[in-house]
Amino acid sequence: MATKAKKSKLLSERFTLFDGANTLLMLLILFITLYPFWYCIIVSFNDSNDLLKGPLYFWPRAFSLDNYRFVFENPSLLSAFFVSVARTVVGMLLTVLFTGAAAYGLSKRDLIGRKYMMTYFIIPMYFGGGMIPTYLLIKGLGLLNNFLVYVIPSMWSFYYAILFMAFYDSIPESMEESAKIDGASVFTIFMRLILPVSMPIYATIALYCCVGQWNSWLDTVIYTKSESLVTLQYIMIKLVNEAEAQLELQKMMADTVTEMGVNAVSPTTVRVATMVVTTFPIVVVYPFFQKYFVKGIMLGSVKG
Amino acid sequence: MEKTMTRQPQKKSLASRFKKQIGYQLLVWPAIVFTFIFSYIPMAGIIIAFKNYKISVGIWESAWVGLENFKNLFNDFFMGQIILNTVVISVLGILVSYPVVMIFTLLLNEVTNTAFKRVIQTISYLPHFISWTIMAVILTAMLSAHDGIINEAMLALGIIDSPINYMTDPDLYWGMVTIASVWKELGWSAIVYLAVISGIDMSLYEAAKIDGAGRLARMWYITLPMLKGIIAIQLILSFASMPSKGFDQAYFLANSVNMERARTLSYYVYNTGLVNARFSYSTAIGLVLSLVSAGLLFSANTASKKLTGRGLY
Repeated sequence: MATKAKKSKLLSERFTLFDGANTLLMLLILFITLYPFWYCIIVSFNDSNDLLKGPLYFWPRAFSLDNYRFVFENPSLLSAFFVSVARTVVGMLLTVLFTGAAAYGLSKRDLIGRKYMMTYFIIPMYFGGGMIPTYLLIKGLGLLNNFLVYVIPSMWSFYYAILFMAFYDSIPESMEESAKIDGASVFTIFMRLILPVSMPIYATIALYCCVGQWNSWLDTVIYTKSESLVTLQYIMIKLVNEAEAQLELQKMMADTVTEMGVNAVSPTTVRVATMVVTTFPIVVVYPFFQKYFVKGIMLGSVKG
Repeated sequence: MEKTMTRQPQKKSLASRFKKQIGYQLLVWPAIVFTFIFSYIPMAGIIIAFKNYKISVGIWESAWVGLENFKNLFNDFFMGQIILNTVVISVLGILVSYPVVMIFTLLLNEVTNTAFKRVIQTISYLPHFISWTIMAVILTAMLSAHDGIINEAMLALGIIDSPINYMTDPDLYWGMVTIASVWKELGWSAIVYLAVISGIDMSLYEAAKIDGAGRLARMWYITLPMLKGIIAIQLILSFASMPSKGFDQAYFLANSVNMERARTLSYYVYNTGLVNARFSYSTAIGLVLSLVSAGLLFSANTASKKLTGRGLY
């Protein structure tokens, strides 16, 4: 106890000029990180015609809910929201259970053929068939234009399996031994014993999966055509890409029509409002779960 | 005689061992089958790079063309610029992000107030969790020439005389993408380094302090050398991922004006294959990419082993 107090005293310093400059720099970094989000929020709550008078700094100039009204009136938004939620929940559950269970088996050091299995799993991490052969496979499996294309191909991830295995390794062997003596099957042990004590790693991976699924967009672009499979990210993409064409139009209109305030919304404000709606769920859950995110990557960095 | 004596119990035990661990085996095998279908079958599909694949005919019936697709690669008018774009975007990314991340990590580690430190960390990870779709919206909103805040602020400060059209200036694309990527990943990249720093023995710092080392000296002579190994590993991974860089950025930020600078190899694979339906040619480029990536991983690893004594494998 005494030595500990001494130690911390030894390393503690007065608040120096260095600390002052460092604190300022860190505050600047906080500002640079947060301001772009804040900027989008204030633009989304600002009247689009007012925006043409000049950019906003820290607060909406002419508060308006028109942008959000426009966004929420879009009938495909609700359906896209449900598809996004569905793929996030279903995809997360499938990945966590499938990868988590397989990793449990793989974490047993005396598993016959384990060395070969590891090599077999590692190779695809560094070499793959590429876009077209994968597309042809998905097509061959009948997953084109199918909701399952969002959740099936991502079910197994060896990267996540490594994180799971690192955690399972820390569970004392004796726990399982006693259950085995009682005659419990591997499946029972896994469900009743391993799963409950492994909740921290399951939470971590579940969150990675959720963010990955929520942000995923390329599979929608490549594998689906159907209107009913459109996700929130895809709606964003359409708004971003169509913007180019709209920008041209707006440029032509800018000198003549803008002063009259014909349109209540503009491509910019609509895009930004949609972006706020799409990002909102992540930002809301983020503070509660961020410690799990970090735990996961630390586990990976220590083991990997 | 002796041989069979020793071998037999082993053989027997292998079968019985397998029987004993059948439950664990049954957990792993679905993943093995899954990996075979979703990873190894596409690898076999690479043969279409050596064929003239047509959807109507199928993989097996399509005609063999040997290395023709690979020869076309050298005659491709766009290829030189595309390779240049890919290399510049990834090298620029490494050159800018590593020093910035290192400085941020070292300085963040020097923050004495733990609550403040945690707040900075938590907030700095946030941009990592948004997609490039969202990034594109933020960038276009902020950099817009007529209602963007960046132009406005720079005009107000007298840095520029007239608004810059960031989105449609090809010369600004590389810089824009690099800065945006650094902004997005700064906090997240720092985590691994902070994890290593938290494991450094405090007595090293104490000894250095007694010897009269100031804070900067301790950062330079203790913390940084302790991070050498992890920096080497991260650099290897960055080099290996070079060929696949720039896809999202090109997809969301490229337009007809800056496409020449934006188009990277991975984007070209997508564009030739899935947009222009040149399946065989796209697969051929993809194969070269995979091989270059594996080659880079191998050589970066060898170089790192020689220089720092540490590698990935």
